[in-house]
Amino acid sequence: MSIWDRLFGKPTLASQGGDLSRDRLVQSGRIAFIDDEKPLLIEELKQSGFSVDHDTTGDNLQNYDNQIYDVAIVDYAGVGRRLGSGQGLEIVKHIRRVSPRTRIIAYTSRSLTSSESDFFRLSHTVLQKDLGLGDSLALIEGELQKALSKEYLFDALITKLKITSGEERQRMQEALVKALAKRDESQFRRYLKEAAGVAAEKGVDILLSKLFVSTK
Amino acid sequence: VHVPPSQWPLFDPATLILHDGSTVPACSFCKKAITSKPECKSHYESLTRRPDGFYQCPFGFTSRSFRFLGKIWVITGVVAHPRFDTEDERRLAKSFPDTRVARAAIDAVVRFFEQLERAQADSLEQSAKVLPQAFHELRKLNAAVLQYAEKELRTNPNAPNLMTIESAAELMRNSFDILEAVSNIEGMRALPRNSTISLYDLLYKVKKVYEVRANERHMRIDANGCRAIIRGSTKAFPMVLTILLENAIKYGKPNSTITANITASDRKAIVKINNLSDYYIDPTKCFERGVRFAPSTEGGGFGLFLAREVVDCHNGTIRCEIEPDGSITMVVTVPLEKVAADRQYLA
Repeated sequence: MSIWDRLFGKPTLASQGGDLSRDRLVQSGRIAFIDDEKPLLIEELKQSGFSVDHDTTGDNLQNYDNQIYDVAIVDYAGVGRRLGSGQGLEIVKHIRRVSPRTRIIAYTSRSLTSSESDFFRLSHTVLQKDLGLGDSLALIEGELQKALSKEYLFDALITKLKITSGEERQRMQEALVKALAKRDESQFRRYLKEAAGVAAEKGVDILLSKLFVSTK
Repeated sequence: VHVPPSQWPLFDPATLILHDGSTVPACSFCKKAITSKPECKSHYESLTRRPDGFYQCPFGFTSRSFRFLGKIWVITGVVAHPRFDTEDERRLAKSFPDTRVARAAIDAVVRFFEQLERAQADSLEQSAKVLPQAFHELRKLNAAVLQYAEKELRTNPNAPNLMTIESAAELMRNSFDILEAVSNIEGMRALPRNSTISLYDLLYKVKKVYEVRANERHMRIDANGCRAIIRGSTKAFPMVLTILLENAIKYGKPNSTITANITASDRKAIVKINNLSDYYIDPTKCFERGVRFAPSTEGGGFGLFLAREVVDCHNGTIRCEIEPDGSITMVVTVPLEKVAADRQYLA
C-alpha cells in the first residue's frame, strides 16, 4: 500500500464520484416505461426532463437487448404477452437476463398471488400506481442514482463478463479505480482486452461509457 | 348450486325438512345418548375411519356419514328404508315412527351438501379472480384522484379543498395497502426489501396525512427524532407507522397528545409512538390476529398483527409497553443502515 493510501485510505469505487447531480441524472438517465395504459407519471417524468420511452406492449425487445435503459418501470398486466403467460413477469425475467445493469421497478398496485410474486422478487423495488407524483419521482430518481453508481455498474460489468473468481474481480476493480482516478477510459479498456480478453462489445461499451460519465 | 331451488332436496336446511315433506330430525333419545353413552361415542369415532355410507348405530338407528368442507358429518337418529332388518331397528321404528325415512331421501340431503360445497368452491374461485381486479381498478381510480389533486396543488397551493382531497386519497391508499397485505401476507413477504427508507421523512409524511384525523378528535401529533435510515420495502414498511399512528388516534383519549419519536443507537433504529387511551390493552396478545380491545370502536383486529408481520420481515421487533395511567407506547426496532449527517428535528 502506498504512503498516499496509508494517509488518505485506499481509493474505492465509491470514492470515485459519488451521487450524480440532478442535472447529470436527467441528462444521463434513460427510462423504459412498460405499461399498456398511459399513467400521468409518464408526462411528469418527461416534464422533469427525463428521457422516457413508453412501451405499451413490451413486445419489441430490441431496446432491452441493446441494454440502453438504466431503469425499466414494468407494469404487471397487459404487457409482455408475446413472451408468455407471465405478463410483466416475463419482461422482468428477460431484462434481467439480457441487461443486468437495468434497475427494474415493479409498477403495480395489484395484489399478486404466490405464483406471481416472482414479479416482486426479481424487481429491485416496487412503485405503487397510486403513489403521489412527487413520491414516485423521488423513488425513480433514487433508482436512477443507484443504476448510475460506480459500484452498481461495476457489478453489472462483472455479471456481463461472467466473472466468478473473487481474485479476478478484485484485480479488475483495482484497475477500474485507477483508471477512474485518471479519468482514462482507454486505460481500462486496454486492461479489459489484455487481462480479461474482452474485445469490443456493445453491452460492455455502454457500461464503460456510463462508468466514466462525470458526476457533475 | 347448479339446480334450481325448487329441485333442492331440502326446503329448510336448518331443521332438515325435505322437499317432499318428510323430516329427518335427530330424536331426543339420540341427542342424550351421544354425550352420555360410550358405545355411541365409539360408533361415531369409527365412522371417521370408514367410507361414506349407511351404518347401524349400537341402538339400531341408521347413521349416514359424509364429508363436507373437510370434516365428517353424520345424519343419524333415523330408521331408514331399506332397513338393516335387526330386532333393535324394528323396536326403534315402532317407538319412534317419526324417524322413519327413505335412504334415498337421506342421500338427497347428502347430495345437497355436496352441491353446496361445489358452489362454495366455485364462488371462491370466481371471487379470487374478480375481487383483486376490482380492487386494482379502485386503486387506479384513487391514483387518478391523488395525482391530479397533487398536480393542481402545484398551481394553486392554497386550495384547502384540494388538500383535503389529496389527504383523503392518501388515507384511502393506506387502507388499501393494509387490506391487501392482510389478505395476502405471502405477497407482502415477497416484496423486495432493499430500498432506502428515511424514517424521519416517512414519519413526517404519515403525520401530515393523519393530522386531519387527529384534529377531528382534538388530538395533537408531536413528531421528532433523528434522520435514521433503514433498508426495507417502500411498499410494506410505511404500513407500520400508518397502523400505529392510526391506532393511536382511533383508540386514544380525545384532547390528548400523541408523541412519535425516532432514535438511533447500537445499529438500531427505534420508533416509539406513545398515546393515552381509556382502553385496556394486553401487551402480550395485542399482536395476535383478530384480537381486539375496543369492541365499541370499528376495527378488525388486523392492524397490529400486520405491523408485527411487516416488522418481522424487516428483521426487527415490535413490542407494547403500558403504564397504569393508560399510557401506551409501541416500540419498533429495526436494523439501522445509517443516520443522515444533517440531524434535524420535526416541528
